Amino acid sequence: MIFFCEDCGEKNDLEGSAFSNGKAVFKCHACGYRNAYFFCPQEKERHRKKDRILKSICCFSEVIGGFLYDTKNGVRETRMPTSLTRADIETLGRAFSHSYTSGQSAYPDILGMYIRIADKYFMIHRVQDNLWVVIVTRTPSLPDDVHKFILDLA
Amino acid sequence: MAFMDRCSDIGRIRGVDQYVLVDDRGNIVIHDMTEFENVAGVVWSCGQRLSVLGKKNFKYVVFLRKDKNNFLIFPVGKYYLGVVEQKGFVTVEVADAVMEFLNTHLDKKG
Repeated sequence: MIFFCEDCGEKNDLEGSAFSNGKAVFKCHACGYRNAYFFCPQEKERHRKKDRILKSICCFSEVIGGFLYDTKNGVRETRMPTSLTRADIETLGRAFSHSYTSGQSAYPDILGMYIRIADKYFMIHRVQDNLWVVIVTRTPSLPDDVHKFILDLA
Repeated sequence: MAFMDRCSDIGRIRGVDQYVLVDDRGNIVIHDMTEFENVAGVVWSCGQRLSVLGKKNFKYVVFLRKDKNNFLIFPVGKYYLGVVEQKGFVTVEVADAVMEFLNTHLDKKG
């Protein structure tokens, strides 16, 4: 990855080992200036917050699991039972997001959807243009607190 | 009486406002719905896509709408049923009523 020295502007090609905790610390090979770059901290913080919210949602007794699905990058965070593979969750995310979008083509006022599969309910909400939250529950209605968490995800 | 002969009774199920039944190729079999052509396409595409997750396990999908006329899709053998719920009804009760109707008549599918 290329980083430019903050002092002299020289190009520095860094190995992956130079990065840790969202930070790149290196000494410029030309002038010796010690650089410390923070890359995408807001993005990392947003991801951390979403993971925390998902973790909070999964603490409710009615909730079996959940995941965040990005239509561009696939599954982002998952707290689904370990019996499901990443590929299984990708398949669910793809089917749910496509169905939601398809439903919106007929009814643009759709606010959310839920699917009953066997005795489980999969609640799907669009929290950003490309981002969906899927929550698996034992009941067809979510506690008010979970709704609040979903709004926080948006 | 065969299932296909009972389809027109779907509109009499408590909480059902409008409905459309499509086959596995997306052809409309019967309907009592305004703007049924667009909705039939959604019923078919969502029904097919979600049935892939497990035809026997997929019971129904509910689209929650701002205007409260929630929209439901059920797999019915080789058909898919789309239902627009009447306002003021509890969605789960409508879904249970439709499933009970389907379970009662599905084995007599004709």
